[in-house]
Amino acid sequence: MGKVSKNVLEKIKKAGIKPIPKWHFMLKNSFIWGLFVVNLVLGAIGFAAVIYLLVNNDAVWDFSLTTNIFQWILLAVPVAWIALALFFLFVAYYNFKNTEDGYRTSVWSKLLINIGIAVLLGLILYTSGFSARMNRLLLDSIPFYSHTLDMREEVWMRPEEGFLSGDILSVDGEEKVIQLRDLKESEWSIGYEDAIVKSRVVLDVGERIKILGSAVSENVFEASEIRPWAGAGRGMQEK
Amino acid sequence: MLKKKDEEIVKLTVENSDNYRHLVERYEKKLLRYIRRLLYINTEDAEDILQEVFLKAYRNLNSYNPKYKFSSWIYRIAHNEAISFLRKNKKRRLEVVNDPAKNIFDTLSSDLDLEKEYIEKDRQKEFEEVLYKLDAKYRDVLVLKFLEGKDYNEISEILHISSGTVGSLISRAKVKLKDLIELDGKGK
Repeated sequence: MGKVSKNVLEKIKKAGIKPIPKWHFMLKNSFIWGLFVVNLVLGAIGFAAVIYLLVNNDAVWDFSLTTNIFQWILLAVPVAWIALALFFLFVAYYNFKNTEDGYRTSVWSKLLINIGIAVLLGLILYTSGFSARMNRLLLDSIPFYSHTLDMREEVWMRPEEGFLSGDILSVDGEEKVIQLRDLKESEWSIGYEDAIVKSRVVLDVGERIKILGSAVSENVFEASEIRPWAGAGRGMQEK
Repeated sequence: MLKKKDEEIVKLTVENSDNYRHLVERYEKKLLRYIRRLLYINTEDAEDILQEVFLKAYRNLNSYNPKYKFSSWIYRIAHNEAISFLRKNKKRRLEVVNDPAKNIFDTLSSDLDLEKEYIEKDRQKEFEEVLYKLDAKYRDVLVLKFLEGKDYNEISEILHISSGTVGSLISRAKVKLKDLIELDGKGK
């Protein structure tokens, strides 16, 4: 028996060293796999939100709503959600890499597997209506959400630039005037005599609408086009 | 016990710690040689590392998965301990020692198609020094492939990189080693 062998065996006996129980390693492995799944699902939720906001933000497709590329990136691209989705995907990738057999898969395969599952799951969440419900919930419960993650309100709350949105308080069909409470709780009189009203717009009390036009004076707005709040403008026919 | 496979002895060790001596005896020389080849250090330091390797392996015996080779598993522990030693001793100048492996030049040089003068024994030392000028990632794969005689799959299990990566690292390492040898030859 060699010197090292002798020392090792003596040390094990003297110090009473015991192998760490199997359940400890099983728990550790399950934890890593669990983290992988959780982060993958969070990444998928992020992708679902990105898809929802891209599809439902007029500014993405309608370049007339923004003045330059920087404003377009700021208002149309859900940068914060993309960053969040990528962050969770990165953590999921890292967890996957650290599973027992994770090293056997090449980096590109690991990335493809992660992104593929997250995008597929994200699409399922989007088509099932989950992302719309989640976005509504976040808008209602997180005060800064509409200034950071869902920029649609920012796009449509620039009356000085001709973009206004809010909930209808009353409609005078004869005079063609709408009383509206905007998203920042100010009240406006909207004249819409010459406005194009898109077919999906319902001019009823409580309905949320988006208006293009110009601010004539303080809290008076002349509409040139009225759009429904939901949807990104494509496929909406004139009434 | 001598004829028993590693995996069987591991099982027996979990039941009775006395059986660990068979594994330790079986791997003492191999791992000591591997650590010295990897780090280029004196025997005392290598023995200290090896002792830690065996203790760590014993503590983590239940994490060993019998679907893979036990030798790969314990070589991985040795590799990690060696890297950890290297990190702790970055500032210390490691003592250069002779590698006792006799076939280093037969295997490496014929594979690399090197000039015959490098195969000669009196230049073994120079050859070794060139090998240790390589980046650790290239040296690791060359040591495992040509000195330890491990196949791609085993190297993949020891270094925790995919077999594809092992292949490309070996191929790049050979080119880099050849370049270094040629450069070294020109400098003489």
